[in-house]
Amino acid sequence: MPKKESKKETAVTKNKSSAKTGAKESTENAESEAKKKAQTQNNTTEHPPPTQISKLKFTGPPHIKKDKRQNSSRFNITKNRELQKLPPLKDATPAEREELFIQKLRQCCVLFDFVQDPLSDLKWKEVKRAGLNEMVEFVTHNRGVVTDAIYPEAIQMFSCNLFRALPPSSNPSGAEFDPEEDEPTLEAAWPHLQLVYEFFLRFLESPDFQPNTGKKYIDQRFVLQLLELFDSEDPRERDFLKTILHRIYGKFLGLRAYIRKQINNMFYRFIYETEHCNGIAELLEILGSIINGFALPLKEEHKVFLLKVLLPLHKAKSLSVYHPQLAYCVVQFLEKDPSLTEPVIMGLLKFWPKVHSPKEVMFLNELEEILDVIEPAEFNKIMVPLFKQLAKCVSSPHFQVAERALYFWNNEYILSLISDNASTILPIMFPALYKSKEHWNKTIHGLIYNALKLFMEMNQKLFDDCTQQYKTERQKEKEKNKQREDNWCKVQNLAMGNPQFKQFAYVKSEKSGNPGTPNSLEDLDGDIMANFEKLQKEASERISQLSSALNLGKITKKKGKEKPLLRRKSELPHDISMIRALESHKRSEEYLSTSAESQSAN
Amino acid sequence: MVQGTIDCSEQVIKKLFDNIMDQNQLSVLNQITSRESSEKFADLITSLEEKLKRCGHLKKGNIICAQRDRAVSTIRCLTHFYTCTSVTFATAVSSLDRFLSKVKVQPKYYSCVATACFYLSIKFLDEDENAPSATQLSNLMQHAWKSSDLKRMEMVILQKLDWNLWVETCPSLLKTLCDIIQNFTTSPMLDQLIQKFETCINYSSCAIYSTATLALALIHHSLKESNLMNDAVRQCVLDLHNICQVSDAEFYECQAAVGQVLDNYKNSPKTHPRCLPTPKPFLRPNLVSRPSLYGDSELPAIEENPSLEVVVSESESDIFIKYVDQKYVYGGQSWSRCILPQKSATCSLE
Repeated sequence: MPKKESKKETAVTKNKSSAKTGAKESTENAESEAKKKAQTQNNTTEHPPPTQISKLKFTGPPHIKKDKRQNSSRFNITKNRELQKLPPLKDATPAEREELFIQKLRQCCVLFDFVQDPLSDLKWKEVKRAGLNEMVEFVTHNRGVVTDAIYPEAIQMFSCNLFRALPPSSNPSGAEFDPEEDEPTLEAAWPHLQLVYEFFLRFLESPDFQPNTGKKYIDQRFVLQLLELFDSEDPRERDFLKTILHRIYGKFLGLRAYIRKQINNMFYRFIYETEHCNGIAELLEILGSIINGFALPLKEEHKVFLLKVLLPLHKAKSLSVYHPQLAYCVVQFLEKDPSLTEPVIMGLLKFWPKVHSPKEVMFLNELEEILDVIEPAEFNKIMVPLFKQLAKCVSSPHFQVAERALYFWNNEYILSLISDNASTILPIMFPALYKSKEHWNKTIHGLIYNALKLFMEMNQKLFDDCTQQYKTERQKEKEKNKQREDNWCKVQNLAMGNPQFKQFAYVKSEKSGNPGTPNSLEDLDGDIMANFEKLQKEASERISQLSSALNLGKITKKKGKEKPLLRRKSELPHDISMIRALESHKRSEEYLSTSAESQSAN
Repeated sequence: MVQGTIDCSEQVIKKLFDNIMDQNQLSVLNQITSRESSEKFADLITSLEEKLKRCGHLKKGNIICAQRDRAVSTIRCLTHFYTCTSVTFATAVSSLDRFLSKVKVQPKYYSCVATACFYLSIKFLDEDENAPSATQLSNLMQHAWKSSDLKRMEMVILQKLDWNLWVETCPSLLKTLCDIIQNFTTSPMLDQLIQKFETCINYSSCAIYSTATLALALIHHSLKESNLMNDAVRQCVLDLHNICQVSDAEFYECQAAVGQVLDNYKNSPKTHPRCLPTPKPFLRPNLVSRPSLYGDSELPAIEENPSLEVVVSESESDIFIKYVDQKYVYGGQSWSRCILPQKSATCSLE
């Protein structure tokens, strides 16, 4: 984790406890020097150069143990963190209440450090926590407390606590990221942040909350900053954000289009640029509830959203993280407007995974759900390309994909759709099913039998016709292959008649009678034998070359470029003093000779 | 008058029959030129007779039931699945029929009986590599019964049939008959005949007839369909009737049944008997999932664009919103309004 190390290193340098590490490395230095001295004393012939090997005042990885995956953004801790405990709200008179509330809110704008020094300012952290807790209760259980003056204070408190730069991801990005395996990194300041979120949510949901007042402060900039927080790695935070954004979308009509546009932008960035965003699932959940509430007929904007945003989301590698939510959105869309079925299914087929088998299973799951709600008229439009893809899945080498595809035959509704269109579908599916009859996996074996049986029951005559056709096609293929083989033999024979044949071809072993199929063992042996002889010749030539070279003693060890002492782990800039020191370091091996040589010298 | 016609034809047939028996005076054989062909023809006839002796016999009337037809469908499906010849199929069906004519079988055992017949047949007649194991067959039938049940059923069937599995079946008879007719006209395609046989045997209405009757009826149907019926052929077929000892009455009944079945098959193939019911395959829960069920969040739906008549509140800002709406609706952007309930929904934070 190079990034982490560098951050920790810089943190170490910032910390005043570097004196401790300084002391440690000086002792290390002393040890190493003693060792070196011991080594040199063993050697009688030559001493190493007198220059000291100056090590840096810099250690390797720090000794900070990282057992809990916690992190926090490097936001500025407030300078003056001293908090005075204020009197409880319930004790205040109605006149004083608002003022006290505002004071408490302002107090909670003080930020504390939870990462570098978790045990600092415990007393004041507790003051803030208690204050937040109290305010949560206060807003939840009292009416008439959310007055006009509270709005700016509450929103300011929320902004300064939460709108921060998120720490860089500690999980590997790109290909190594496994959404199921890698644990999320939790927010270290959660004890406070959780209460801030809760307070804001209660504040938004309070019966006294007036969107008209709130919209002065909850504007586009606020929403944009809120959306940026969705990239947080802490799932609890994302859960709160989801609910808060959902409420904001519901209450602030003027912001709706803006929110939709910004969410689209986040998705586009995810799909086409970074493929990294932790909050896709939560955003899709919100969109699900929005789609649910769409009015009919659907607006063009929403249709474009489905085709240009939701469908390409299926492309991403980390689909498994948000696939349930995505599938829900797609199915909701289709329930609203069935005429979108054709473009959706064609889109899915376009993005069908070619080498990623778990993703194929996910696609098949989604496809079955879409087929569950499809209308027969729509089904007719897409059945040919759909079943062509299903035929490929059934004959997939991955048994789970084949199994999942064959489970479609268990679905009554799909079966009824198939039987209504058997004359089109059966010829497409039949070859794939028939070919996989001898499958090694007994589950698939049984499922293929089941599928064939169902087809036979649907239309016996068609089934028989398909069988006949399949057999004749196989026959034709065999004949074609035989024909091709014969032609090649003819060419071979013609070539053999050419006087220059021996120059260009190696003699094959005698073929016995029938040339047989291209994969006959005799042919292979002949080829192998010829190649083997060739190899032997080459090898013997090489050996002779090498031996001659050795005898002349011209073979010297290639002294390539000296391996750099630097081991590049990451692209981060290196400390210049370190580089300089390593470059100036001279190796002592040149002056040391081996014991064998020293003996021969003596 | 009818009787007279029948008597007449009987005499003609008898005469022809005698003619055939006398090798030197074969009237029919005049069309066959060389000595070799005539010898071949004689061989064919002899082999036909031998085959007829080996045909299985059924006690009439016992096997007519819908279950039997479904069992035959199951056997047919298995035959296709393991790519067996039609002789295997026919033997299996014949064993089934003979077994059913001797023993009354409860419906729940039908699947086991049918599979056992097929199992015996394939072991007997087909190559070893093709043959499935009992466990495989049990797996195919979704474990409705175990492989030990299958093996016990096998023994039961063999005992009831006196271990007499080697019966002559329709396909082989059809082959011989086709070879014979080939001498007189282009023979009807054997493959088509066998296909028709497989269809017809599926129905107990055809299966009650003897092998020879069915074979001849099929040939008749095929010849009529392809318009190959000329006088010489007709004579030949009548001769064959005699050799096979097929009575006219039975023949005509069978012909009617065959005709009906084949018509049905061509015109409404969906009425073909289905296979025996098997339990549904078990779905692995970790493989099959309904993603949208999990993706359904608890967030309530947010309505879009409700009816314009309802006014949200009486405040001035609302009038402004209406104005803004009109402006932007004409501009083509989508600004949506919504009816806000006065009390917003509270959510659970856990």
